[in-house]
Amino acid sequence: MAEKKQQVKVPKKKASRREKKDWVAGYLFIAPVTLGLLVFYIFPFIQNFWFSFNNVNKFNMATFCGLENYSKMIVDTELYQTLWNTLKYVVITVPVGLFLSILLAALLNSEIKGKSFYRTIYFLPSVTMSVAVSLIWKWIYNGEYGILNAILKVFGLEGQNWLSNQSTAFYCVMIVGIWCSVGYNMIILLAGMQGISKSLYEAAAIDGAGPKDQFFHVTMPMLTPTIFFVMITSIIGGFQVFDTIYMMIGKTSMAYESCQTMIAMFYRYGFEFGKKGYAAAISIFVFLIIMVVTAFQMWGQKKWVNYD
Amino acid sequence: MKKSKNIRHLFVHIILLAGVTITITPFLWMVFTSFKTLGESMAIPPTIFPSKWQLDAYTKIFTSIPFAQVYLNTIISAVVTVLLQVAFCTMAAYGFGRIDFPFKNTIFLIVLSVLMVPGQIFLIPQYLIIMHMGLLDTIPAVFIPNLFSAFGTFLMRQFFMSLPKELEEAAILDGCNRFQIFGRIMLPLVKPGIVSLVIFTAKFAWNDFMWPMIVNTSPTKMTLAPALSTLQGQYGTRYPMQMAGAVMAVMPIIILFFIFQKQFIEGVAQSGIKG
Amino acid sequence: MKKNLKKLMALGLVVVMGATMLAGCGSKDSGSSDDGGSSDKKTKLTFSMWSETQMPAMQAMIDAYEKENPNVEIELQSSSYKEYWTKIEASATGGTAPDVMWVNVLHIDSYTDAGILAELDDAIADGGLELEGNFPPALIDAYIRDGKQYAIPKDFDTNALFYNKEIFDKAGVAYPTDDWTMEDLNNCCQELLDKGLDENVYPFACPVDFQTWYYQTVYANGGYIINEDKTETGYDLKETQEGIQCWIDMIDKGYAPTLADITDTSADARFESGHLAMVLAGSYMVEEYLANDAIAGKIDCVEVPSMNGKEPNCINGLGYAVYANSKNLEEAQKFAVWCGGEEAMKIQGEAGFVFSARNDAQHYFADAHPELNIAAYTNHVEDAVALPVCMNAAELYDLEANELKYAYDGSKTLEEVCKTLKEEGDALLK
Repeated sequence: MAEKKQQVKVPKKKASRREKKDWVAGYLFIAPVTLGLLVFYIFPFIQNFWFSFNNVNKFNMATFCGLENYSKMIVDTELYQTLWNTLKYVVITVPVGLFLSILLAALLNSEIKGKSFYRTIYFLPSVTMSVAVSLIWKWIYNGEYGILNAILKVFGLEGQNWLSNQSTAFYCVMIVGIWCSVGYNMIILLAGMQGISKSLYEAAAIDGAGPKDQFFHVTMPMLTPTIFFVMITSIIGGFQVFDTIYMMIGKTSMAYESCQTMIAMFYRYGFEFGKKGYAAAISIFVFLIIMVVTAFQMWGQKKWVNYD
Repeated sequence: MKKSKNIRHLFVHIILLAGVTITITPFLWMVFTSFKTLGESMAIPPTIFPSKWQLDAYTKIFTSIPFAQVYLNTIISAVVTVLLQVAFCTMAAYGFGRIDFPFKNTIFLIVLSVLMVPGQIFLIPQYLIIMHMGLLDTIPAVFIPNLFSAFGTFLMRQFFMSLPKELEEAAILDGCNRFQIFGRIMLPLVKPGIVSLVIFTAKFAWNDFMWPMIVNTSPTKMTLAPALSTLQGQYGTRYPMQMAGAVMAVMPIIILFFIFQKQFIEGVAQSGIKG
Repeated sequence: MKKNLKKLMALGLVVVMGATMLAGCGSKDSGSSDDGGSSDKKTKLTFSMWSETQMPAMQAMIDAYEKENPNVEIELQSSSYKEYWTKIEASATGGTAPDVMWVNVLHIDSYTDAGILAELDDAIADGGLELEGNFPPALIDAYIRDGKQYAIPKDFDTNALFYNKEIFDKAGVAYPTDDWTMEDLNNCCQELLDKGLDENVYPFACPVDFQTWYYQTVYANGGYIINEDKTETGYDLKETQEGIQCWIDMIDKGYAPTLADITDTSADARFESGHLAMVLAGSYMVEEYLANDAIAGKIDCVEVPSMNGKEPNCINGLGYAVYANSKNLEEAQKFAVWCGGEEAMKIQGEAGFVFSARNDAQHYFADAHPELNIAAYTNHVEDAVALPVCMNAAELYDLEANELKYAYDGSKTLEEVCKTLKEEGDALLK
């Protein structure tokens, strides 16, 4: 604590006693989180960065190797395959999930009966453990014994090995991802909708706007900040998807390559092959990609998010 | 007019019920399978209800994994994570959101930077830290890194920022110090935020997979998610047993959810409004 | 409500203090916790393993050892196979790895190379354990690197052909026998199909599995995966490819489920639920099969069918190894060596889960299962090939499974796949 007081004296020349007291209080308030983050997140981040310039064996013994990991990485076709898969996952699950959540939220934002029943049920998957969800869906998708194919058969449709087929497996995983998150996002959007002032709708009604016009000209513009929030969190979540794919797509699935995300590749090199240096380089690459995407969104939001 | 409204409502109900079916079927399928024998679970065509409800799969889990202990571990680590993380984040959020001090923005930017980084980046070094602390394969290993959350700080800060400035100024003139302001004036006002963060954290702590799987490997020190994944095991695939494990893993949080659903849903709703 | 918030705040403050103190002393004192045990009179050892089913047997061994050596206290730890290695690898350099641990041949190269395992030769001599003559030579050699013994053989596993009598009876087909050839296996599959099987029941299964399926035929056919110097792979050899192709042919003929089907539902799950007439299975599966009410009493096993007059089998096993940086190295070695002795092997053997590595204890496994033709596993154990291993074994197996699935699936020819495997596999051996 003594240290902190000294630190405080440096930046501003004139600070009243009360201000100084405030400074101390401020530092005290932020101390646990800041120190914790420094020790368990910032320092590991730097160490991870250091590892990316090393050959780190299974037993965490590091030998410096310069840019070898990076030069190996940029010619590794697997990296681009996983990057492509990850982007595909984000580009499909985020809009589809967002569309469904907005649709459900809009339906529930009317005066219908059983609202809280629907809300409760839709929310259920998002409190369920992803590992359990994966086990359940893997069993549902099973080619011979799964209930999905059994249902299709009732309708005279031919089922298939959903998780082993290159053209279906990734979409099946995406469906699980969407299934898990729609209810959650719906709740957030519904709250956003309910926060919109009634007077705006009344004004629109006076101007002769029907329910459809009201939705597109009042609800949607006023909802953009909430949509932006849901979008950002979904995109970040999408880039880090791992549990479901890890649990559902086995190594001998024909769809294995087409379902591997960057995080899965990182995990495999880091924890299965014991090449933590290379894994660290991959994680740095993932980090850069997320940075670029986030920066792009922050820039883009000015054009469509309505902060009135 | 009234009739058309009724028809419209009926239409809405049909769509919503279709959604309910898609949402609920996997859960029912999980429960039904968990009461079947392996043979029946693989019957063609599949039976919907077990021909005989039996608890074999459940009893087998208790003999292959110390499930009661695993439950307790998960509860302990979730409760500690929630209590401490929420306390830390709320304090830090108040500091960042309402107090001026040198380097505040720089420090906050550093805190925020953690948010942008995919969590897996920290895994290997975090593991080494826990190892050097001599805490591997202990319950604290599961929760320690999770006590400090950049996301929680960010979220709570939004709540503090939205409060009017006058509140504090008046209190300061009254001679309250910062801690009194925080405890007496601010905390009650950000209660919705706290509820929201509690839910986020509880959900995360209960369901977290990769980190507890890496640090704790003794069956008696595991938490539920990794324990469930070990059910897939090195050999064999026993669907009823997997489903029984899944049922037991998701039940507590689903029951909690039904008891506190109003708080759950409001908490989540708040996070979006403030985010 | 207000009271609660006050409490929360108080808690928060207490925690801040705690955290600052923790952060302040954490870096200095990180080593101190390790010394805690030394003041105790008892030497504490940790013993780590990965099989839930074998825990009672290991605990019984520990109890027996502790009785003889009251100064030692051994804590048994178990985790799943995959997590086991993750944990050891991450803790090995920090000095916190278990003192005594199971190892298998897949990991022995990289572990000895990194100096994780202690040499045991002196301890073996001190403990009066004769390896030669008491253990199958292949198992002793499996743990020797640079002329030093790094593990005491614990157990071994080989493979056999299991069959479901009920399915055979129903179809009216004669049971398999020990003297079957690969041709007989194929003929039998055809006969089963001809006589008619229930829906979703297959005569046989061919997953992309090296140890239990194709390695055996690759070696029986005169091919190899890795050459003796561990400098080159043998995927380009005609013999190697034939040894793999024979299984793919069975899928093509409809004797076995397609790759997609076997990926969704494993061969074991099919066999255990009565959907498979025959399956190859390692001896480690015997317990699981017998514990399954659906098939118990309806199954038996015979030798793996012969190929070109050779008896294909693949032997693999575990050993007890000691952590080189153990704080109680001597005690740990003493215990590991004791585990290779007659008494320990008897305890393990009587539990019945595995073949004990010691020659005089192998019979316990068969004794434990008089209802099965367990001899099928051991009849040709002297001809069995050891699992081919190298430094990058995990990566090589991964590559192999990844590529071979295209051949099993039929989307590429085996020849094409093996060309890629040869190139990339050789690169891994460099």
